[in-house]
Amino acid sequence: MRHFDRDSAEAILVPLLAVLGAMLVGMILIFTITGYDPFAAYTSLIRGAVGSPTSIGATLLRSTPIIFTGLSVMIAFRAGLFNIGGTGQAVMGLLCGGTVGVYFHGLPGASHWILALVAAAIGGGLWGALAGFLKVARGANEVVVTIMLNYVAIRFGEYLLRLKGPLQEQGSSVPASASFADNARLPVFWRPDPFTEVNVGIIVALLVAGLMWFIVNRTSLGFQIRAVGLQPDAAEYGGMSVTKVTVIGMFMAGALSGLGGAVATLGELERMQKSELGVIQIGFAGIAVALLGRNTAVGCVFAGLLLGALDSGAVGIQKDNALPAGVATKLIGVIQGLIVLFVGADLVFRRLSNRIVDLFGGAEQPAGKTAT
Amino acid sequence: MSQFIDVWITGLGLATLTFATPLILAALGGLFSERAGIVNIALEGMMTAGAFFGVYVSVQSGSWVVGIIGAIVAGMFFAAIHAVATITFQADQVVSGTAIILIAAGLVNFLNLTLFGTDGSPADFSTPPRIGIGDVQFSVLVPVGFLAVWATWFIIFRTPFGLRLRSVGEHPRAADTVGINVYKMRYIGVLISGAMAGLAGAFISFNVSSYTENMVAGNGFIALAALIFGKWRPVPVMFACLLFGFSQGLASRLSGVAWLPDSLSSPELLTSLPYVITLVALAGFVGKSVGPAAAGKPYVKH
Repeated sequence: MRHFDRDSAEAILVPLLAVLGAMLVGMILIFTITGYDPFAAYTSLIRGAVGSPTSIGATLLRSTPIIFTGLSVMIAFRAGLFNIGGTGQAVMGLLCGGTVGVYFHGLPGASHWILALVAAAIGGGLWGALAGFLKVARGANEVVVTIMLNYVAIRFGEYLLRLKGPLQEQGSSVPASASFADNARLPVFWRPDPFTEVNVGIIVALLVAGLMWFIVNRTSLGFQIRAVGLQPDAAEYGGMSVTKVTVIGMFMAGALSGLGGAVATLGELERMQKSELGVIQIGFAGIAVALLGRNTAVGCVFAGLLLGALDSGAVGIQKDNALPAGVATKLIGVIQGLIVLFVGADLVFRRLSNRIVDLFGGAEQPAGKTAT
Repeated sequence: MSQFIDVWITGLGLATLTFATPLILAALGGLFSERAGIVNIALEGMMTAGAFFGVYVSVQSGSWVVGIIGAIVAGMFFAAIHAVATITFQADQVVSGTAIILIAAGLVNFLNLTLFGTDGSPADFSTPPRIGIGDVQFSVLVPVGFLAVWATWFIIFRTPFGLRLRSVGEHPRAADTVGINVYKMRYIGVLISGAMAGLAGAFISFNVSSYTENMVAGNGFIALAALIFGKWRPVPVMFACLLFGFSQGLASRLSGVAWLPDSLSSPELLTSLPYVITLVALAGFVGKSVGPAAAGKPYVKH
């Protein structure tokens, strides 16, 4: 423990303490409001998250889209932007990817779903770039703009998929598109049970996370993004274009969220459904993922897996009736929000983290630093 | 002709007032917070809390007045969390706001399911009375909204309190130097925003006599846009809210009218109108809108 330095301890301990704190508040809520046994509820949660191959498969499925939206929020953050528009970008992504999945025919093998994902990335990316453009060209606040774009995207998608809407299956009485072509659906590589099919989405997510790590840390574009995010005036003075970086950063953010929407749809559904659009929560979950992952690509993967586990754990709670019907998913929403709050207001946890490092004999200070 | 007047003058006018009032209340709340230097994107969450607790407390107490107090307290509760996180612990204000939105939505719907069950709130409970002449009837809270515009203007620009509030939002260090308690003023500003957003939320749920999930539907964010569009000044903010309220009223009036092609009068496209108008207003007309200088930045006392 002697070589345990304060910064890397903080990077692990602060998110961990935030999650524990949020879970603790969750227990208090369960006990005081519902009167149910919080320990029984959390036992069901853990069983539902990692208790069996089926649960682990469900956790991987739930994690995949939010790893993408987490990376989306992360890359925007790095460029100094706050992307609350993940939901709208995901909707645009799933509409573009889904359209390729439904209307393109005869594409061989993997080329179809890969093309669908590329279309999703472009669709989501353009939707994100629009927010970036409005910010730099018109001075529009990106927080409000991305939220408005969320609502517009959802309503637009609902219009396309409504009865007699342009993308709705002709002659069907269901507000949904026709089925995706077989090749457009993401290939399944693991079936823990006949009803759980884990598709390659999670592998794509890991590859994209690696790519994001590379772009941020090892390329000139990544350097520009980080420079603009930290010191826009200095970056401009150093010859970089804040305008260009902002639009590209928001394009990348939108593309990542678009992929998140598309993997959820092409991976788990047969078709695009109108009812699916209004309940997409992955944009906000992405904020929790990015913050919990301390705005790094690798952190987003772990945070996405953790929050995905919470999500599938909620299903476990429902199955065991460990909480009143429907309450578990709301509780997970509260816990996500608390995690965001605790990571955001991490001053108190940073002090706690330092205290823990001291306890484990990390009291040795690098020269020039003083203990807090 | 008289039918035209009923639908497009009286009807649209009333709809505009009904949609604009919660926007006005919430946006004025946001004005207090942002003038004090704390960005409050969590208006949406505080409105959600107000919408639920207004109904819940009114059902429990049998009095809409008590219900409104409940809504205000609920809004202030979430505002207090925002204040502690951003002022005392210097959290990023947008991050904290996002957290409050998530927590409020989750907690309120959690409570809704636990307290009202899956059937939702009861159909009949005490709501604010309607006033007016003949067919022109509106909630008693509508004039309260407009009164609040004047009151906000007066407090912000004509009282020593307002001057102090603005000073901690523009230049906290200077305010501190002349003996103004920056933290205290910021706490007050954020708490007022919570109270007004709570009231705004209660207006929405009282208006339809029920609480349903996600009923605030982005109105908190539209109020935020109105605050920016109105350049943080009460009267222009009111006009911005009236514009956005008008677009919502227009959307509700146009839904299903015979002379529009089917695809244009579809509820999906029409309900996106307020959001599109908000976008166009923010991107097209507002130009560089400069808020209070210190808004968004934590203040660290030396």
